[in-house]
Amino acid sequence: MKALAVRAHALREMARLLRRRPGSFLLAVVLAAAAFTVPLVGASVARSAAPLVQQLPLGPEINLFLVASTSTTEIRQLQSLLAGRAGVAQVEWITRDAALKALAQRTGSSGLADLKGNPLPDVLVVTLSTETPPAEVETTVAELRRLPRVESVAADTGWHRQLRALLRAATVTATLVGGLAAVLLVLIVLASVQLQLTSSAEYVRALRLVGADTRFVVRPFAYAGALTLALGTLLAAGLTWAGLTAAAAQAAELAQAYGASFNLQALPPQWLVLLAVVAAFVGGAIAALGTRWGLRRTR
Amino acid sequence: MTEAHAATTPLIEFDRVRKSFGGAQPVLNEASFTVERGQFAVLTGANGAGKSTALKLITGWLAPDDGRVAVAGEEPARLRDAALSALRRAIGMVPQDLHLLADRSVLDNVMLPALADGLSRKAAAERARSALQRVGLADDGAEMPAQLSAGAQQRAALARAIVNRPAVLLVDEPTAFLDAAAATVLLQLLEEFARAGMAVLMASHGEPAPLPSMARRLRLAEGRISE
Repeated sequence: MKALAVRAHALREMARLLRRRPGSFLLAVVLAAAAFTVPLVGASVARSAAPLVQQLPLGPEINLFLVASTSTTEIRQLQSLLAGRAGVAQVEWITRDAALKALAQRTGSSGLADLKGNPLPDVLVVTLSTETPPAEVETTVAELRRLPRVESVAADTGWHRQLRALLRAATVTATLVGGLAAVLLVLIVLASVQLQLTSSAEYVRALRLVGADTRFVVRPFAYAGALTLALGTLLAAGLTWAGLTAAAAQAAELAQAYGASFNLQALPPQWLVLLAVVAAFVGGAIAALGTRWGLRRTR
Repeated sequence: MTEAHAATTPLIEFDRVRKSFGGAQPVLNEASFTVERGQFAVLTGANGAGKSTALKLITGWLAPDDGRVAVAGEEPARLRDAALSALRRAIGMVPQDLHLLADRSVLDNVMLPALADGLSRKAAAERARSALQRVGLADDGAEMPAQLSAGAQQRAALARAIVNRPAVLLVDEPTAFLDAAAATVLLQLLEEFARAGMAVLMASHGEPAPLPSMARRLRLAEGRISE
């Protein structure tokens, strides 16, 4: 009962606090929304692009060209030997007939049909796992070169290197943007709390005078911080949804021009509600700490 | 604060208290006095003599440099936040500048200590109305503090101080800006609270007349308290 009573009082005081400086509160909500929108758009785009990225050959590929006289049994043995190696995700056998057919289709050359035999070798395409570091790819290439029945080995380690660098850059950028947004949100809540504390100095003094404990004093400010970030998150979600909806058609058209399909969409509503709840807790905690810090001078 | 404890311990106790600010001449020097349950003590002294300092030592806003200040056996200076707040809720305090909140009604002001004590709004309002009635402001709950006279504002602050039914009541310069009639009403109220069992300590730069017959006079001069 007592716990309910003090929380009900804190809610009423929070409302009074926000009514006292509605402009500051709204500004804090809009600033929080602005800080939230950038990572939210990033997360939405990343989630929308996930199916496309999954189709990309992210793991490094090594092509083993076998000597022409290699029998089917030998190729199968080699294929299972490779598949058993550590770090190998997949081994695909492209038969020489399939390779010739594909080449004919790709080049549209009728001259290939005039060849007496098939000059192409059987190929084993070894896909390593995505996490394989470039140095290990090169070691593996050297080892595979020494295998029996292998005539030559080709590996596009440059692509893998570029992809890893790109992923690293994307991770660093996402971390920086996320970190910057987090710092901004903390600063917004702290600045908002300081303003509210300043405008409530008389109230806080009166509370201290009548023996209110720190938690009782802090609670309305913490609730205001929670509300600021929760509303900021919801506003950011609304802005993100509107922006992505407006850009979805153009993004899909662009993807289609490259022969891909891309459906740009906002994060699911239940995720956003969960995010708003988490933001409310974080906002409340930051505001509580900020208020305690501001009250330290009054014992 | 148990009844047995309260019966044997003075509610306010200063034992050879010393307090100075920034190495200057001590405001309080070996100051000792006690106020028992049901006593009305008036601490007089010139401006800057240390009366408000004495009250702040009792409420724990200040800590003594030396000696002991205790309220019902508890030393405010040694208490941490929650315990100190609980002790302050057991002390009714009317500061010189009253600290009535201008943006809420008299009733809301008087309710504040009860709300801080965890009472529901309804229960706090009931207590506040009862406190306002005791100080003769039963009909003024809906007013804003600025709408009251200086004497009525003092009584509103007094109602706020007694709303949690404290054992100790501290009043700082309550008659400083009141005319004789309003001062008399206020002093009668303080006497009434003392007779009801509270330990009342009033700080005043001069001796307000007419002081109730039961009042004990404590004089603060050059840091020492004499009776």
